[in-house]
Amino acid sequence: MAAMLLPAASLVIYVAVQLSLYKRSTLKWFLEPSNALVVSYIVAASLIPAAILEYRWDFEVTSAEEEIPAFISAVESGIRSGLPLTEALVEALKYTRYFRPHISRVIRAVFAGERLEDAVEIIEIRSPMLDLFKEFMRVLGRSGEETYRTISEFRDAVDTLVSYSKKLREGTKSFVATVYLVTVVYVVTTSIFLKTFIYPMAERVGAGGLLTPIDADAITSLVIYGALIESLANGLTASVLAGKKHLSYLLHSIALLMIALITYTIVLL
Amino acid sequence: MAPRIPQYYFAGSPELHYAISTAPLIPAGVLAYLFALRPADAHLLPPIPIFVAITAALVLTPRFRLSEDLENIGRRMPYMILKLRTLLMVGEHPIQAFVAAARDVRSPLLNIIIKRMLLGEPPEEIVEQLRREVGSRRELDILKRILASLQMGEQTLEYLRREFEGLMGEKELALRRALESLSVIMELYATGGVFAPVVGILIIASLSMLGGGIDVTLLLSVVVFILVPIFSAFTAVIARKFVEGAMI
Repeated sequence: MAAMLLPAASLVIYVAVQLSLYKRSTLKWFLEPSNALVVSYIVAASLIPAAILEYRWDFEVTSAEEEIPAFISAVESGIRSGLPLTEALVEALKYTRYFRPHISRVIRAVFAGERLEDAVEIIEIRSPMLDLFKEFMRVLGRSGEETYRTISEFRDAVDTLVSYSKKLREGTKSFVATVYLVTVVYVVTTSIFLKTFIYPMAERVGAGGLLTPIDADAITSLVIYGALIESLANGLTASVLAGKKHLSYLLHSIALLMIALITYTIVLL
Repeated sequence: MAPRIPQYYFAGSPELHYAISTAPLIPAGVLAYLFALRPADAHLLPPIPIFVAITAALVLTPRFRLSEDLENIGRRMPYMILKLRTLLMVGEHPIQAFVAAARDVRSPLLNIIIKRMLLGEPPEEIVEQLRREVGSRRELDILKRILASLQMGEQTLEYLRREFEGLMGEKELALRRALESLSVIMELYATGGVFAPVVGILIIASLSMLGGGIDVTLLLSVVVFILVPIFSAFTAVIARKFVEGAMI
């Protein structure tokens, strides 16, 4: 939480100090390209910790969920070959990678004397699928003669759910590509426009002529703020379209924003 | 008419909810009265629709919460059925198994069903009563079928398996339809949310230089800070509506 608040607090302090030192109006301060860039960089930096946390959480949960069917199959094979449940769980660990640390802790707790029903609570990551898996582990010991049937039917159903979730994710991946495309189009078009039209014209207007004077700095700043808003809105919209948590695609937003800001920095130099 | 389910209202009280919701109409009425007295004061008019819109949004909040709740139930239904089946397979009592499975969804509507079931009311009757209150909803129909199946004895497990498969089949179909619609929505979003602002910026900046008399800063600010976020939010809401049937 502190990591998330620190950059946001630094943005507020930076803007407050700059404004107090600034001799002209607040609006003018915001419409200076260098300030627009600094504000946008700080906004992007302030979102990095939250985006990384969300992305890691999403990755960990998704990876663990995808390993569940293989894990359950391995448990079933172990039990069918005559191993006790705890031994079968240990054997099934081979089929996990991201889920292994969580299951290992559960198994260690069981070997230390805890009941499996209580030990599954050690799994900290939560999602509907993982909650279901925990419930399955809780009741597994009570299945008696129905154990094989319980495991095999549960595995089939979980497999259906995991495959469906995967299909949903794959199906919506193309939207992330679209989000990148449209932001790149925005940055490239506005950069060319500023460099080849607005700045030369602003200089000519200054030299006299029929053209009305324009504030090239204000236009540049608004284009930069536009990139900031576009990047964030695109990331959030892509998250909604993919049915993800709102911040899970924020990492894409920040990546896009950084590309945009570096491009504008080069254009302004 | 909004559903009379306390959890959907502020502080669980429909009366208090409507009192708070209609409060913004007071300043709106005062402003309308002042404008009627002094028609020249046109600046009194703009806040009136804002207050009315706030009231409308607050009054409609219970309906939005109901839709959100039903959407959540629909999304979690496959997990609920699967948990119910697993618990039934290990010999849990059907009512206890349903309560355990439904509690995970954390839905006010399901909590009402659980509470009334535990008080001994017949499950189908509870769902029927809720349907009369909130209208005919697909999620309630599925719930009714599931609750009815709990009395089938040995056939319950087989029924729940078929219900699960049917539900996943429907989700597959909804996903296919959602992806087709989303392509169109994404094109609309790219055109309206990104390419249109770019063209807007180019045209406004160029015309202000050639024609003059245009406040370019104000117009660009409106495009960047108002139109783009509104269009993005609008697209996200519409897209969500298309995708929600496919979500799990």
